[in-house]
Amino acid sequence: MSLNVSLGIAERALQVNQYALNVVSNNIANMNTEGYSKKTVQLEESYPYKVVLNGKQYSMGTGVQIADIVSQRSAYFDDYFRSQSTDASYYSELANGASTITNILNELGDTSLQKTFEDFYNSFETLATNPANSTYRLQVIEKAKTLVNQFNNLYKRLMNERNLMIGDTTDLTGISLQNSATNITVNDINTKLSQITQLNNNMLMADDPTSIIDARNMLLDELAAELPITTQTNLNGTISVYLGNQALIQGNKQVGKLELAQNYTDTTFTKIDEDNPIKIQILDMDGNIVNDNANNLITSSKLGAYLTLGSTQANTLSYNNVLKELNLIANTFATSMNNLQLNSSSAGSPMAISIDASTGKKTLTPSTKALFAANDGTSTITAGNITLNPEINDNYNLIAAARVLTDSDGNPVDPNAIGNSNNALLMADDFDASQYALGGVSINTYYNNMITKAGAQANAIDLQDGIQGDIVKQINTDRVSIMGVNLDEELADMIKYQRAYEAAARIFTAASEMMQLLTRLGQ
Amino acid sequence: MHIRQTQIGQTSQLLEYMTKSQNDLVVLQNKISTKKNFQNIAENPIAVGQILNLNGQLNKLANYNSNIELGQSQMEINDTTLNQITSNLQRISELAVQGATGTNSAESMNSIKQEVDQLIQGLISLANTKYNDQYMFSGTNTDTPAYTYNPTTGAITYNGTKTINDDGTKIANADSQRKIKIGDGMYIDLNVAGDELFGFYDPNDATKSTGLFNSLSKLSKALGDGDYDGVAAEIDNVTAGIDSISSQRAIFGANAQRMTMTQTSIEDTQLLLTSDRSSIQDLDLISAYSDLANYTYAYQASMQISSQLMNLSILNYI
Repeated sequence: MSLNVSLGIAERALQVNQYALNVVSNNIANMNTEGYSKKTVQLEESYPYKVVLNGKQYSMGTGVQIADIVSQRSAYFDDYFRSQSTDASYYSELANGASTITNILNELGDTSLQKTFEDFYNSFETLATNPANSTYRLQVIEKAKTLVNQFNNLYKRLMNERNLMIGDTTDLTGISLQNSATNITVNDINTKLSQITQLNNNMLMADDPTSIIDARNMLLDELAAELPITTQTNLNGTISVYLGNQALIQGNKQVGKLELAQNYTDTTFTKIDEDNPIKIQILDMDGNIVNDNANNLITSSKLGAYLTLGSTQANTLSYNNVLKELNLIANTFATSMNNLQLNSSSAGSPMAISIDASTGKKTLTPSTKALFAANDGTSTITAGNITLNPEINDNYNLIAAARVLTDSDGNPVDPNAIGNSNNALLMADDFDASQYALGGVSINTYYNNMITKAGAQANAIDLQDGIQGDIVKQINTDRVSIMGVNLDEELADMIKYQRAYEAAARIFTAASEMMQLLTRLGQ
Repeated sequence: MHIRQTQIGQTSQLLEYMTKSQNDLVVLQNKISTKKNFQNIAENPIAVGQILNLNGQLNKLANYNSNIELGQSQMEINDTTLNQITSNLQRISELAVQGATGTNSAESMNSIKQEVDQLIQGLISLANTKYNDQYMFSGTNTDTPAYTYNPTTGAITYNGTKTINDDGTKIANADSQRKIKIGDGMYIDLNVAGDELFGFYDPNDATKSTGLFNSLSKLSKALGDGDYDGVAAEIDNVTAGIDSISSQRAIFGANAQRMTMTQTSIEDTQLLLTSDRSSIQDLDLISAYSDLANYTYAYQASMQISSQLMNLSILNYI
């Protein structure tokens, strides 16, 4: 037994307290770092040794040592936060999409589609008061052009937003798919997967894995917002990541990655399925497809929101659903008007006006030109391609305002009856006429219902978004209260270790002086 | 219940309160500047459905109103024209009475005939009145003059939409009406076909002649022949013609009356629907301004508290 022991104890105390102070200063430095978990030093008495004094055994302490550096995290809250944040980012992204859609539809604004429709049908009522009047006919044409333009615009804007999100389904080169927001997210997911795997590896090799664990948790949090993953902590401390039952990371190896692909309707790869244009595939690290269509595994998170917004699922608000309804309305409208313009009924046949080139006399002539057509040469009229028939645009007299009885050749019994407005009145009433294609309701009612439904769905999404957002905030508050840094605690600890350091230094001085005395004893 | 506070937790909490207050303020400012309760269909879906409905109804009513304006002016023209026609016919009637007196000389009969012929031409011309670029009495043959007069033969031919058979009976479903819509399922006929009021005259075929022009042509011939009895025979027909024109004027008058009443009813409904729409869509400015004061105060309070809390730190005392 010697003073050396005291010196040794004091020296160890100095080191330990210095180290503890480092930990405290690290905590303070990272006070505002996101995802940083506070480290606590746990001290313990170092192993005592035995001394024999006067034939009795005594235990002699050897000072202090560091037992452990503990990182304050709760695995429970970490998991809970991740699972709720997956749902929160799902609703948040859905709410973004819903807001875009409702802003485009903008029926409460001054340029609503409803008003344009009304103006168009009203122009026929005006025409009915003087069917041969060129001003009234020109007005019908102008209102028709305004209406089809508005259809085209709505379609284009909705399509553009959808294509930015999931790529353009008419682009078979795949470039717009690569540039889509969904692909950017998929790439980001793959990057994070490889980063997490890297951290898993680093963790196995590191002596002090606590900061690696913090970084890995941050990445997992971000990944959970983009993909509905489940995690499993392994015995060696690595974390495995699963999508459904498909492993993406197992231990320290990445075994899967995601790929965004176009969903074709058949094996000729010429037509993309409009109802489900994209699919997420799971590949192994060699590039082989393990799961060709994992869409059913991705029902939440940001990626899930993109899949929902870009597909035609029943009873959800999505670009596809709104576009489909708009197309149906445009098609029913065009078909119904063309029917009145061209087809006979028990009340007679529709008649346009022809003007004799030499005398200028106006007479009725059978109507043979449709009012509306598709401007891209296809056979189905949609909101995107509906246009006023150019032949009608060039000659407004081809609009069939009259409906009269005909002889067996289809010619009007009285060709001079240019003041007949029966057809114009029928056209004016068509907005409220029951349509078979719309399930028996009128275009007016169907459109109103569509708008109300979209608004109600958007409203519900906003509500969910608010609720989930609040839940996540609450969990985060709890989580942060466990692992965050409290300045008062740290500074109190700082003073604690500082005093202990001073005290240890004092012992060192005392032991040192006692040693000096000893050396002088021999002189 | 103790929750351990952390710097991060505290600042993010304070930030959130301030953001929420600020957000409430901005939303309210938006409402006040547009004076509408909501701008987006997602904000209140039920109300949006109601507003769309009301907008549609108001649109329709405005349209019916403008149709009524058109209809009223047509009725006025109809009435004016028929009035002038009646004056003509009354003068003809006087002349016919004069001509029926057996004491007229050949010259006076002749001068009566001249005046009657002039008046007949005047009638034909009035029957060919055009309004709004449409021949009023041609039915739906609006580009064709209702009557043509052949000076050689004296034929008065009707070229409009036929509503009267050669024997004077009415044709069913003649489809000669020009209509306007003044309400759901409510239509007003704007015109009456010329042949119904005036008939037509074929000098070669008495079975193809009927009505007022037939009588007037026979009157003119009788005056020219000095046929006192022939003249007397037509006096009643002329009177009957005047009566039927009066009846038609009464019908047009009733139409005008109906349109006026409909217009009043439309205006009342418009008032009701507009105030309905306003109660759903328009912002209650008084409560909005008091909310504005409240929110502003809440925002200021949250900012004040945040700055005070953030300044408190143990570092001030060490």
